[in-house]
Amino acid sequence: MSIELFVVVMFLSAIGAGMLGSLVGLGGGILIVPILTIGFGVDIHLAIGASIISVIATSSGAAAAFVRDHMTNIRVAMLLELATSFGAVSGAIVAAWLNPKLLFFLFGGILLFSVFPMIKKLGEEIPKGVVNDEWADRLRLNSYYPDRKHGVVHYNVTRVPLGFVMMYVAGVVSGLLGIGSGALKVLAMDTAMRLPIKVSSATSNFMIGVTAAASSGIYFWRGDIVPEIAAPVALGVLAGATLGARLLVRFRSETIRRIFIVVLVIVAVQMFLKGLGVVA
Amino acid sequence: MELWVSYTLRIGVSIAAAVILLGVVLYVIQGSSGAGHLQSMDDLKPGRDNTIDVSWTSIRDGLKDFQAIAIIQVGLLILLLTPVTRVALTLLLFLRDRDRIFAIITAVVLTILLLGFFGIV
Repeated sequence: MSIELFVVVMFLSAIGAGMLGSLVGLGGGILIVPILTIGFGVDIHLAIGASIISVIATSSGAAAAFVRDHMTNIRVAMLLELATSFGAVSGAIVAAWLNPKLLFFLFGGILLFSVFPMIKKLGEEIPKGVVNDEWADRLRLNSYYPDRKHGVVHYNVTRVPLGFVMMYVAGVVSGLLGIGSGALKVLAMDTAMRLPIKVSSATSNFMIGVTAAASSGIYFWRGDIVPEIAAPVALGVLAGATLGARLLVRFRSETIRRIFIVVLVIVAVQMFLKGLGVVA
Repeated sequence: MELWVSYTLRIGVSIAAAVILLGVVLYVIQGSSGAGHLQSMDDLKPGRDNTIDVSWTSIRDGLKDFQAIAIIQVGLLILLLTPVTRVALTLLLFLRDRDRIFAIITAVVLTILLLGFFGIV
């Protein structure tokens, strides 16, 4: 395949990935690395580099909308970005030294992990009986958001240190594998800190771009962000996510979600096989 | 102020996308003879023998000659700068509210991002 043809086909694939991603509420970045490595045989380090910078593009659009709607808790986001950005930098530095096989393996694991929240819906809409812990009190992390059904919803924040550590891990995974690791971020805010699910997802979306930016610079100056890959991926995912957001209004179908789960599992198995060296 | 944050994100991404698109169009026009253009898919595969050197000097020199690669790289840097600007704006927000702890937290995050952006880490 010529480079020119690759750029065109990759652009179209990225549109598909971005669209699917936004339809099911995942960043779409999670499909980019498998498409590049399994589909086109690209070096996984270069695939991760292209993916991480495209994550910035998609997360920024979504984040903008959520900030406007006052769903995002900016204080929680800023505090946790401290953890994710340090994590992302560590992940990006370590990734360069890791055996590609191990990266494939980890990626397969993360793919399977992202399937769980799609099968079993995470979190309570409004958690009850949450009391601010010492940190949440001191840092004034509790807040409120407007809700169409429940009016103004006030909420507290708990187990901040645990959430912080989980966020560091989310940052490492993001920097290591070139994904937004939104599923891990929501998990930390939801299960550890017990934020309302709407706030968790909005705040996670808001944080993804900063986390991705923290490691993108490292990949960029290392020469792992190749324009021939990164340009079609960034433009394609962005176009796909925008299209997906429009389509979402028309068909929020269970079918799409089920198809996506199957796709994720198949891709995860293939990544595992590549990690084991069964598939070249 | 929160609206500003929202706008920065949108505007930054739009500008970045436009610059990258311009680079791609130039890339196609310059064809495979363009400076720094990869010649085959083998350059992207594991065990490739080429390494890509990226530096401010290489980007600046490339821009002087309207090289597609350099323009795409500038677009990617603008994309990278979008969250950085967002964090800088948030820092202003906390400084305005005289929120010392959060101003410090935000300043640390901003420092990490800037170190990455300038290629120091």
